[in-house]
Amino acid sequence: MHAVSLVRMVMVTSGRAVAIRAVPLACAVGLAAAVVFGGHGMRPSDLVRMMQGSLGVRLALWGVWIMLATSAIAPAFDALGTRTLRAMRTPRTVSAMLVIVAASAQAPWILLFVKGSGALSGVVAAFTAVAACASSLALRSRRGPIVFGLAWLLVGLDMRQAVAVIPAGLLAYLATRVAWGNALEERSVTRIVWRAPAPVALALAYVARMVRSARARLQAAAVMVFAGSAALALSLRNDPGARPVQRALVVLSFPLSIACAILAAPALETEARMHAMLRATRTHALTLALAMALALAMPSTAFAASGAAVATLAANAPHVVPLAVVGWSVVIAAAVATWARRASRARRSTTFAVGIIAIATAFTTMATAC
Amino acid sequence: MLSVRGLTKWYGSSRVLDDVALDVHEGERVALLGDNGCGKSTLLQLVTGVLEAFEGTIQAPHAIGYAPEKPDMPDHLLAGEWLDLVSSLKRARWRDALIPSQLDVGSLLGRKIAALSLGQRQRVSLVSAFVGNPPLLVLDEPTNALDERSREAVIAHLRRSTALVATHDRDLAKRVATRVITMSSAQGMAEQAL
Repeated sequence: MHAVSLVRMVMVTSGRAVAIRAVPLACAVGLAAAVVFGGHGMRPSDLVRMMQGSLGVRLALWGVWIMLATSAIAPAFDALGTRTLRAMRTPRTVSAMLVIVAASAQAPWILLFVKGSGALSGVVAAFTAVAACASSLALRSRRGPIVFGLAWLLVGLDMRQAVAVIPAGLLAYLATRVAWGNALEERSVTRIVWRAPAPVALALAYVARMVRSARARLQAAAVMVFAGSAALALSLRNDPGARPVQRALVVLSFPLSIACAILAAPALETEARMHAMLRATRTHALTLALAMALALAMPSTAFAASGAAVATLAANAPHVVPLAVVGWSVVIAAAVATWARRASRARRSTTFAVGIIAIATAFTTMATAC
Repeated sequence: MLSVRGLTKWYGSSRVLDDVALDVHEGERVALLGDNGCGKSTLLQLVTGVLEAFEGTIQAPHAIGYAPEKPDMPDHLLAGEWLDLVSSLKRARWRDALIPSQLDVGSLLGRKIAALSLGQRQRVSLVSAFVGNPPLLVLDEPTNALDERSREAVIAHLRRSTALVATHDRDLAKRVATRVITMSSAQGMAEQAL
């Protein structure tokens, strides 16, 4: 097959599938970065220096990034159309191209290293991240854990010389080959959905979709809420006395609304997929509305509760703050769920986005007026 | 059990069903035969409420067991999760339905629907239609992609049910149906001798 055609095919199969997940992730990380690096806050070089200075910080931050980026690159290896690619029997070329595809999903991480420590550091970070992410998808294979271990060794060693590009690049290539070879193996899945009252069972089915097939969205929502929680912690520390509950609700209204909006799409897609069954079983509209609200509330409330709890502990704020945030996030989830179902019938993403901004603004205003 | 009168359905400017009348009484099994695109699946989707916009009247029982032609289940769920979800919606237990063991779905419960073959999906889809032993079964090409054993199990089950079945399989119609109706785009519906 002609090389140009092969590149095009990899791009429209794996490349497209990765882009769909990587773009929301990059947007969410970009928003979080705007909070962390905005104004007179931290600079990228400060963060990179912190990682270079402490093994613990390095491993923790790399761990968080690899967790976020792995689900973004996962569809590169099993997206629709990749079976045709496999049939062309050009695994080396495809693997090399998949390194580039997987590296594109690491853009925010690469940017951090380029801005913080220079272009060479960015290239090494790109290859190491690709190696760690791709090999983590093949941990059940024979070679996967070895490549995964070597990738973490590179992280631990923190090699900064130009020569580090070679082992990192080689490892990235090997990891994509292992992940490519292992992608079509059937994996065991933990059961999430059980027989329960209809709204609960439906909500669990929606959450299962988020966890299994829309992990990048789940992570983007988590990043959104945790960035809000970080801002809350800073705000509470700077001024511990003045109405902490009200401030928590004001600060978290926007991130929570956006997080719920991010999670609405997989839930709506699952509902659409079950249309025939839902109609044939005459499932009531109220059941569907409740299920959607529950599905959005489960993850967003979990993120909000943990983020607010950490912020409360860090700022030594009253313990009622996380409880208030939990209640607030449930109400926001219900509002976003109702709007998402209405807007999905209109099939207009602009209408949906405008509504979400209106909801976020309304909740922020309500919290301010409290 | 099921009464359809003056049913007309348009897809844009094309009329798929024109003034259709159909009755299915308790204990009856009506087979719909006809060419591709003559409106069999559309009729079934209207009866089950999957499609809404139509002219005419449809009187159908509240609970209908429906298996579409293409098993339309969320790919991310395990087969067991899907059956539990359907059981929750129908407030029944799928294990109490008469057919799961004959269709051997036990071995599929821990597998993702995305990983199932077409025949395996069809078996899961059929079991989900039979959950709660609904008074009326509406099945679209129920024996598509089934192996011989599963096909026989479905036929045996259908013989004990009230059902409206769309099929191209004349043998299935002959063995199961108490009435056979042929549909065609040009001539509408006509009852055919068994």
